[in-house]
Amino acid sequence: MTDAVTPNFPADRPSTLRRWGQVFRDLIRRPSGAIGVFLVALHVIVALISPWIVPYDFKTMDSAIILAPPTPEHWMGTDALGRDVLTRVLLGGREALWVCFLAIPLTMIWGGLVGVYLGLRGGWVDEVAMRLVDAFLALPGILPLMVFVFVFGAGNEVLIPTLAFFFGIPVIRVARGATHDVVARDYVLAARARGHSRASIMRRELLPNTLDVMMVEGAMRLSWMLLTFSSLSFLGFGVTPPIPDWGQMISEARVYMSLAPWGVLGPMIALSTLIIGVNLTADALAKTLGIDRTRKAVV
Amino acid sequence: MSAPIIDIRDLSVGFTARAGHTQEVLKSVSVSVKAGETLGIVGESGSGKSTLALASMGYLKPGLHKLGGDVTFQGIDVFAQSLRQLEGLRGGKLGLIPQSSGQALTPTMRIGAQITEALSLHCALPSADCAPRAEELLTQVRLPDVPAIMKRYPHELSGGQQQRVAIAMALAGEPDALVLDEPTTGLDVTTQKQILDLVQDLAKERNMAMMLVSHDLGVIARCCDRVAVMYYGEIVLEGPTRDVLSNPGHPYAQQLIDAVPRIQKVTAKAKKTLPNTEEALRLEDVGICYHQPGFWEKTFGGAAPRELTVDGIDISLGKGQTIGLVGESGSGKSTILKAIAGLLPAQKGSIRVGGDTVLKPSIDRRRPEELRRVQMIFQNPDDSLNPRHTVAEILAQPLYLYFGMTGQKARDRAAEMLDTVRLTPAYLDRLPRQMSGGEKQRVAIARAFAAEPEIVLCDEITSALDVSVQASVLELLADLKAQKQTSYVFVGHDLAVVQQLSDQVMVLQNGRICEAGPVDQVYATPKSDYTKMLFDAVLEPGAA
Repeated sequence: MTDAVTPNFPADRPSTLRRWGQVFRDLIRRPSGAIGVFLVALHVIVALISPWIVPYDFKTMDSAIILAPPTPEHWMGTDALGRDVLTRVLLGGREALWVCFLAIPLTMIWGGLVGVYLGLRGGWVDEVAMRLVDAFLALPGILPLMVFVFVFGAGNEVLIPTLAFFFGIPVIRVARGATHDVVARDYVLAARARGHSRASIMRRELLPNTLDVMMVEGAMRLSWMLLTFSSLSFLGFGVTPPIPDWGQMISEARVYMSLAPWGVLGPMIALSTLIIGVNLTADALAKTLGIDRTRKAVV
Repeated sequence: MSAPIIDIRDLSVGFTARAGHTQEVLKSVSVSVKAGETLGIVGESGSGKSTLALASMGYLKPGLHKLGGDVTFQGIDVFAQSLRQLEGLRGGKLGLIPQSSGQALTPTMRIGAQITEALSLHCALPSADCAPRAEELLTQVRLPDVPAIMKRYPHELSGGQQQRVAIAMALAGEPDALVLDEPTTGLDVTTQKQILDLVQDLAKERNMAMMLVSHDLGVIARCCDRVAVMYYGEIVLEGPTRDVLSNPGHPYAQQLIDAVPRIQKVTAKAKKTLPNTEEALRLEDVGICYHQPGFWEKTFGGAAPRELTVDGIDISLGKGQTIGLVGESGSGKSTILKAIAGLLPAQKGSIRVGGDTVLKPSIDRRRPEELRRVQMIFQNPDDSLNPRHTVAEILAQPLYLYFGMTGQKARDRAAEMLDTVRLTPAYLDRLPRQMSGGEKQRVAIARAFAAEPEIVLCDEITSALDVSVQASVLELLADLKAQKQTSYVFVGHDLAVVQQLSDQVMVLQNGRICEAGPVDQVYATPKSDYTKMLFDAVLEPGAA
């Protein structure tokens, strides 16, 4: 038999960064991915530059133009305190994006590490931990968040860890499931047979191979978290007035909805385009990475 | 002469490669099958044999498209049919028996319901008649206790039984032709023989045309009237099976036939005697149970003692020697390997390496130095190499773990290891998916030998490889053994491969030793009926 000694592929080991670069290029080639990334990018850019482009100050009230309809001066009209709606819509996503973009990595890191560990560990530790997870999941989503905010006060230093903590719990479950797929593979068995430590197996074998699932999960969780943040604001547990936030704006303006529908319309469109954008991106990412999201339990 | 049932003319199939040009998977292939005839299609992985078989049913994998040629079934052009018409054809007059029926059966449906569904789709049977007809079909495929089987779920059946159910489903539509895509791959030899006998009998009874795809020349030789040898999308040779196998006119076909390992006839004189060498591995009365005591039982005890899955295993293996473990699936071959590796702690008996060191049953209790001495190579290299690691990273793991090597030193050593498995250092920066199956298995072998082990456990390591690749991997293993005086425990289902590599052989049945001894003695004069049955079931090209 002849021995094939020369490789017939070029040696192009893509670095992790280059691989994700390629994933991103493939992602925006999908229509859903392109639309999603466009919407998210638009929101991020607006959030970054809005303090310099807004036409009015977001706090300035003008009792002369309360609930005014759209005019050339106020494109989206004014709210019940006579503040410019457009200004507040443009600024209203900053807090949500800032909080969620910080909280999501925390969520994925803690939920992911715990889930991967439990998936590898198995046994009674896994059993007990998963029952605790189940217990947490049985709580209605937003209630414990409200309790935390109520006890520790609103503000980002409370909101970010609280959101990360509660959103990390379902992530444990997903990461554990993804790990079970990998743990059954022979390369993990081979690593165990060689005598690698659990930490080494997690770092070298499990985390790189669950990363794809976790990225998709992170994108999905982001859209949920944005929605949850807005819901908290809507209920008055999020952003402290007068800092504008979509959830809070919808809450304030819904009282006058029949009189001044522009008050709810602006923040609603802004919020929904952001959520849709994140969702489309997450879906396209799942398809690009070849992850069947219908198979994974989304809790 | 009757008209052919399946007639494929000048069929070309390809996919559009990135650069915009078309890559052909099938190049102008022409074959035909007549009623009552069995055509074998043989070739190595990637030769296009499955693509051809599925194309005969009008199916192309996503991404593939037809570039030219015709496929007709009973005079109907299958590629001109609408999807609905094709659905009527497939599973009706044209049946498919897929490779792993376990995956083709719906896991949540009982066997009876699945067959009834196939019946109601393809034969206009009143629903009351479906169940009796399903039972009749299951009886025809010689399943025992049909009423009980009807109520079972697919996972409650063995691989052979699942395959029989798949055959029954294919028969539900009263097919005139059957396409069999590697129907016995993954089954052990005795089951394989039974399935092939069954298929042949059914084909004869119903005068069906059959197209059988296999990489196993033994299977082809046994079942087929004619055989077509495929190589890179082309049929390089076609003719009556006997002629092709005894006198292949094509160099590739010759090579393919020569690469098939055959059981060597052992004459009494030529018997090798086992050289007396230092003992490398000793197992004494080892017993293993799949049920490991849990936290509760360990703490409080009191659980009823369970029957051991594997029991009474004694092995004594000398330095530089190989013991082959053979037996049907479920006989405990791999379980013994896992116990030696410590992955599945033995409940009973002792495992000793190098004559002195007693290994603790559980891997967690073994010292790194002890772990280093026993290394394992797995069946499927696709599964045993981390897809995210380059070859250099894969080989660096044992080097770091056992010898503390890092950086350039580890890389140099990894290159040396590649050299011992006859790969160039250019492979260091390769990912598993950038290599062929044989190359991957060589990397897996290099990883095991990087630990400089005394004992290497081989779990069916060539069964996922093509025959020609298998031959070179076996040669490599033999060379390494001679060079490094390593001992192998070799699990195999292919008796010829086991013979080629082993000094001793142990035949296992239901987790107990059935017969053991020097390989020549066991192969020449098998004592137990079970061993004789195993040998009888072996299919070899040229033997039929």
